[in-house]
Amino acid sequence: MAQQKPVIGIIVEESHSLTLDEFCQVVQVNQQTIIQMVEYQLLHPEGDTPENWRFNPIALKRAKTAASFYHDLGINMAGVALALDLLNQIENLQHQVDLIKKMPAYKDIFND
Amino acid sequence: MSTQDPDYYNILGVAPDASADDIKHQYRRLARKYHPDVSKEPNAEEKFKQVREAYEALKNPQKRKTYDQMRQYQKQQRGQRPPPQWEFQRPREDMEEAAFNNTTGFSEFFENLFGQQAHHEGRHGAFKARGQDQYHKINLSLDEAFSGTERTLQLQEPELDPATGNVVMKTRSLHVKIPAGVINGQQIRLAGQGSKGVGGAPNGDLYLEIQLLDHPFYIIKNRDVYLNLPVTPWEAALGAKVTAPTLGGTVEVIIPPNSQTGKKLRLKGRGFPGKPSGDQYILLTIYTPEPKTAAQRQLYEQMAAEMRYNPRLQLFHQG
Repeated sequence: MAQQKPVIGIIVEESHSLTLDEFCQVVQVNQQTIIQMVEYQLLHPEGDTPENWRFNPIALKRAKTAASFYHDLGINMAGVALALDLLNQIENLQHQVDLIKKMPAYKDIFND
Repeated sequence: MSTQDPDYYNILGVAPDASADDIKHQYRRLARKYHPDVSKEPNAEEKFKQVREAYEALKNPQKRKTYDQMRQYQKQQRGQRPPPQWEFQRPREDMEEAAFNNTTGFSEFFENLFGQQAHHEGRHGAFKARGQDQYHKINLSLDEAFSGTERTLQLQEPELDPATGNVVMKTRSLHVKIPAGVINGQQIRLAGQGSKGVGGAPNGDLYLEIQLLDHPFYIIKNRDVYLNLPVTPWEAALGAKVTAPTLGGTVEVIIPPNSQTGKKLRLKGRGFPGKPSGDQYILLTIYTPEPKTAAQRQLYEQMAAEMRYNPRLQLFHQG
């Protein structure tokens, strides 16, 4: 079978910043939800009004997780903000644990 | 029910006559348990999708009624699916609820029963809608992510079979090129490779989310790479030039004299490529060789006599 010509992807995080409309389309939520996320400081777009907001594509993953917590788990936005902060802390701790786990002197501590 | 069709009551662990409150309660419990961003359960993502699909079908009384009719039909017809022209009450989509209705990855059964694309195409000839964006996770080894790679993906997507009017799951194979230097959680957009648009509207996009696989000795944080590097006591004490691996190949590293375990050295720009590139950090770990001969044992004894070093002093002098 002939090899297909590869489709080349672009890294979203390195592409241009997104308007509120574009951001909503990718996260698949309505504007009100994104505006709420900004009010609860889950997202920090540049620009002073929703019409001028420009979102860094790096925030997409965070916004998607937030949208899923909000809609699928029924957590209110304050709870979502707290959950994301805690997830962030867990990620940092996990990194430290991973480092220690790979140090031969300590790896046995984590065997259980 | 036909054997491959999902049993939504069973998935949520509720009785077919469960109240709306019971269904919601049970859904919330399972959604929390299997949410892919927090769950440590195996196959959490797959289970989460099933739970969402089941709840999507049962939370709305009209949809639940449609599903119950289908169950009833299949029970009577020994698992046969009804033909597409079979008339039962199809639910209307509640537009507010539909704001977050990502049904990507739902089963063929769900799409046939409730799928919007099929209904729109069947009922309104002039209907136009951009195709849904699709999401797909992709696992890469650190080496693949560092250097870039190519992958052939098998994507499942619902499609309307014009002959029968049923929605069927088609597998599409797509050969994609992943650029060098992608990092964990990063998304890659393949424009126009999502679900097909309806009525001539553009296709959705396909997003690939990168998940980096664990490596036996490197740890990644953002673009930085961490490595525990074993050194001997004399390399640590006297300083040395040693070789160390990096993702881009072997490099020479200077160990400064008087180094201790945990000392961090930075190899600038030796992490993941990007703007700016990451660094590689080397964390020294001192390995003490076992004395195996009398002469080797004597070396340690000589050190004990000469060095007069007590590493525990600070444990007994507080403040």
